[in-house]
Amino acid sequence: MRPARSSRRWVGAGTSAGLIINLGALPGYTRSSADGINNNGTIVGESDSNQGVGIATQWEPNGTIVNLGTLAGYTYSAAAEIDSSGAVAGSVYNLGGAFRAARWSPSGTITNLGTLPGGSSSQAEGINDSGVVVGYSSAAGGQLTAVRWAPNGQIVQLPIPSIFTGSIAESVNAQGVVVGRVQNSIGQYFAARWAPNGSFALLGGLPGYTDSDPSAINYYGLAVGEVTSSSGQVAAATLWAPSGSAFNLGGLPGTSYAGAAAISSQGAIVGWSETAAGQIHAVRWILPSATLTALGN
Amino acid sequence: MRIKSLSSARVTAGVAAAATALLLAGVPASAAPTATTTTPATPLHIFAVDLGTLPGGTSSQATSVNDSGTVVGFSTNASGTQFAALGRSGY
Repeated sequence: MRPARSSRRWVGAGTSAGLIINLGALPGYTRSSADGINNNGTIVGESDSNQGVGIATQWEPNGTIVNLGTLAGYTYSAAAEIDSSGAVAGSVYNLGGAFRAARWSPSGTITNLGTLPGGSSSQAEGINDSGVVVGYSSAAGGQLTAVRWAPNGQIVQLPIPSIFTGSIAESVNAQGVVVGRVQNSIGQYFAARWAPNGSFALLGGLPGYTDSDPSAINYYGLAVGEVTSSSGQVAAATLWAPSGSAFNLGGLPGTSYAGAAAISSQGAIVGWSETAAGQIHAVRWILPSATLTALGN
Repeated sequence: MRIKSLSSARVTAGVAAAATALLLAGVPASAAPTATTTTPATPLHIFAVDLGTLPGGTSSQATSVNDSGTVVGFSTNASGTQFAALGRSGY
């Protein structure tokens, strides 16, 4: 469904309420993280007892916390994204073992999405409202490979030029356009986009940064993520226009160290930035409506 | 949780430049722009707004935003423990 293009209501700095509500964790868990929210206000993420190990968790709009569980043979799980129907993409895993991409139906039934032939591990990163899931799987040779799962669960490898040695898909929009990244033989990675028919395009980078990594793509084909330097010590929040051009979103005053994680169909972009005090804080970027329009949003 | 498996290998700038040439040689002309440099065609006139943390927390990140402008992510609290967090962000 095409998102409503209602007039945007602009707010200035200081009027944002910010991240103020603690969603809590499942009983028996001490920590949590939210990774996705749909347009109904349902949230998914994880409850953790130790860093990086936990169980997929859903927070209903009324505040109820739901344990999404895991598949037989896997102790842990993690949810990455939820679509408007309530279907969830994520992964199940064992400590120190292989990951397996999974999809939760709106009623909570978990499907093991499998791997490419000969692969041993897979992870799901994104889902759209048609039930298409994207992520990556190891292939027979062990290399990570961007894949798409059809609503019926069929896995398809997303093609990449032969000069690249690996790929990951991160997000899929309502049109079926996928963004992710490809890696070359010396470990550099580059922002990539696949059209619904699978055709591949490389997205732009930013001067001074060697690697680029989109996290999300919205209804209008705007993608966001981050670019990094080869040292791994520098990152810049990045917006990719549908043309493939990259723009540096900047950070909070006094810093440019930031990364973008998500973009709504309204063009709202969120992520993180260093603060003047050297902390890392959640941020929201404000773009003028004329700029969004110029970019096709 | 996210596994950044592709990010482990790192390269020097000189090798990166050589790799870029290799990269471009193998990419169809229709796949422009280049892998490493893009000149923004439009000034963005953007700014970032600090969404803060849970009360007493020092660190937070936003991970998702819906079409109502509701933002989720995670934040430390006054005890330094990380929890899923929810907030509003404008539209």
